[in-house]
Amino acid sequence: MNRLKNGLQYLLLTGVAVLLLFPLLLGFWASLLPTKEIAAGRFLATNLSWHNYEQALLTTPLIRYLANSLVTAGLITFGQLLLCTLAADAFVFSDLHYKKQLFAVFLVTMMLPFEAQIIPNFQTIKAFGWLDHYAGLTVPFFTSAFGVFMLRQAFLQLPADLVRFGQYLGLSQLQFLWKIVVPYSRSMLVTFGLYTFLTQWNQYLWPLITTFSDDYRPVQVGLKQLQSEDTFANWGMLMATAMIVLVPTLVLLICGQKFFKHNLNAGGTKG
Amino acid sequence: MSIRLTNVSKGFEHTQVLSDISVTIAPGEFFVMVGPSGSGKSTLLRIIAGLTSVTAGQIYFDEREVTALPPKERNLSMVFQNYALLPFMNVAQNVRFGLDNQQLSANEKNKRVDWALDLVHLSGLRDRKPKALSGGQQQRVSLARALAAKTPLVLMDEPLSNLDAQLRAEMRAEIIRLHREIGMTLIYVTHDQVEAMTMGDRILVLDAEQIQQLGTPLELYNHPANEFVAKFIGTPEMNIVPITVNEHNQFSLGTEFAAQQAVPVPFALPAGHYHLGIRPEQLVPLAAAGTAALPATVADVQQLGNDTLIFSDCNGQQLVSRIPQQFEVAVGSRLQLAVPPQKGAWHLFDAQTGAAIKEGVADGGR
Ligand SMILES: Nc1ncnc2c1ncn2[C@@H]1O[C@H](COP(=O)(O)OP(=O)(O)OP(=O)(O)O)[C@@H](O)[C@H]1O
Ligand SMILES: [Mg+2]
Repeated sequence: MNRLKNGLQYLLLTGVAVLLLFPLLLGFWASLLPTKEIAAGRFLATNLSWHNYEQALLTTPLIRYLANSLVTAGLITFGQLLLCTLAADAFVFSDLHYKKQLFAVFLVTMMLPFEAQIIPNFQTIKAFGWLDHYAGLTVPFFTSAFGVFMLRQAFLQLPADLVRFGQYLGLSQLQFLWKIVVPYSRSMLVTFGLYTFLTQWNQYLWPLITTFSDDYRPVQVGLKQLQSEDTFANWGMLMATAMIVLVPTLVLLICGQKFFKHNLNAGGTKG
Repeated sequence: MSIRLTNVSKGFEHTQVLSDISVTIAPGEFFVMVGPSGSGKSTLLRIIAGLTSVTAGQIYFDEREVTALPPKERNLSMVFQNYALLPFMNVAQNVRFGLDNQQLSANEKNKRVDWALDLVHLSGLRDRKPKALSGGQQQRVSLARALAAKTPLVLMDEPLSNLDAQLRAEMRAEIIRLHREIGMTLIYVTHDQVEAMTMGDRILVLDAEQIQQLGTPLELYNHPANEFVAKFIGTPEMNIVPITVNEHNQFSLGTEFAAQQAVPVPFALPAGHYHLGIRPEQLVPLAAAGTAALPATVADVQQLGNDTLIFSDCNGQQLVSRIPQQFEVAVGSRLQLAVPPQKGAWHLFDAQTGAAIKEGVADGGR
């Protein structure tokens, strides 16, 4: 009876997994096929090769796009980790008056959708001359209310006796942050860093409107660019580029799985 | 190091916690501060540590005023209730971290760590993370961290309250041994009167913002300064009942004199209303009915193996007796509880204020 129930559950899960993975698998399959076969609709062809990947890497600016994305997402992740940590530290450990009220006001900005900020942000960036530049791609994202919220929750878990111990040792606020709080909350910080990197890697709208050249264009926009250029009909190669773009995210997701499972659940029930 | 507090007061925004606390602690003393939850023990300890400021008053360490100094300039170390170990460091690193604020050579630090771990018998576990240790072992690490600093003053805030009874007894002996070996001044906070009685050279009982009494364990037990201390020290609690004494040196339970239950007072006592305290072990049943006895009905019996506790009812007053042997008695049966003949077993308190009535001063209740 139990066995049957288990079997059914697995069947259902497998079904859902196949359904979800189907586009990915189809894409991967197509990336191995010559474009000719795809165009002719012969998906069951058997002359598979890595030729599309070779072409993607050699004839398109894909590597440049990847590098741009890496720099952009990396800088933003670093910036958010730094600034959100400092902000959360102030909201939790400083002697600031009206900390709670200030934090509530701060959180309200989280409710403001990014779409509503695009136009003013664009104008600011333009005024700074940061269009089509890493600065324009990264600086507007150096902090997030979500990040401060998440880290504040994590810092609040620090036992009161540890705070007193830090005080007893005579640590300054920054020393306390660096020697005790950060290592204590490192699994949350790693989770937050991975999460930020993944979200930023997949950013589309903002880079689309603020980058105009391959020098700064990140992959997601780059893919679109490739599609709209002369490579338009080269489906096999496009699929190959899409697969390559996926790799870093997959690697991060797999490496970070244990952190995500642990911390996002914890945040969900506690916060 | 000696510690002297003069007229220390502490209030938070809406509450006054300590008022006018003055006390001197001798060098090398094992000094226990005890009191019920919320009585301000931790606050007083943190004031001594420099973690909390005072509202008024001064603190002197060896006649040097430290009232405004931060903890690290007071040359003391602390052991916390929840251990305050760093989970990302192993045992040895944790102990070493406690030396971070001292100007010592790396070599000296290593020596101190080895010495302290040896002292608490944890050398074998130096590479373990705190998570992989039992509660008792974690508290040993925390002790080692405090001792490694070799400060002349160590403060402990309920260090054993998270441990189970058996470990607690073991660690109690451990702390007493460490104090004896090292000889530092030790200020120890607890809400457990057994800990206080068994560990302290002197005990300070804190309640209602004030020092209720300060003295050795036996002084507190034998001569409680007021009803609060009388009830707080000793298990089971001291019996305290209102009595009325008449002109013929007789008394009866209750606030009215009841002639048919009158029992003679074994010493001269002015007429009036008092609260009488008698320790449970001093209130034992008589073998045969006598004159100096209180008739009572047994309400409950607890056999502890070595002791027997008898809960009885006498004229509506609940009394408890402790007999140092196994004693068979049926619930509901009648007993004669002997009134202790020796004066020392009588603890008399002012019926209004609850303060102990001392010899000579005793001009009777009102
Ligand atoms: N930072 C603070 N702000 C406001 N009130 C406080 C603060 N710290 C302590 N108090 C109050 O002071 C009183 C004494 O607290 P304290 O922690 O010293 O008690 P305690 O005797 O150690 O009790 P326990 O046995 O529960 O640890 C309590 O009423 C507490 O609510
Ligand atoms: Mg306390």
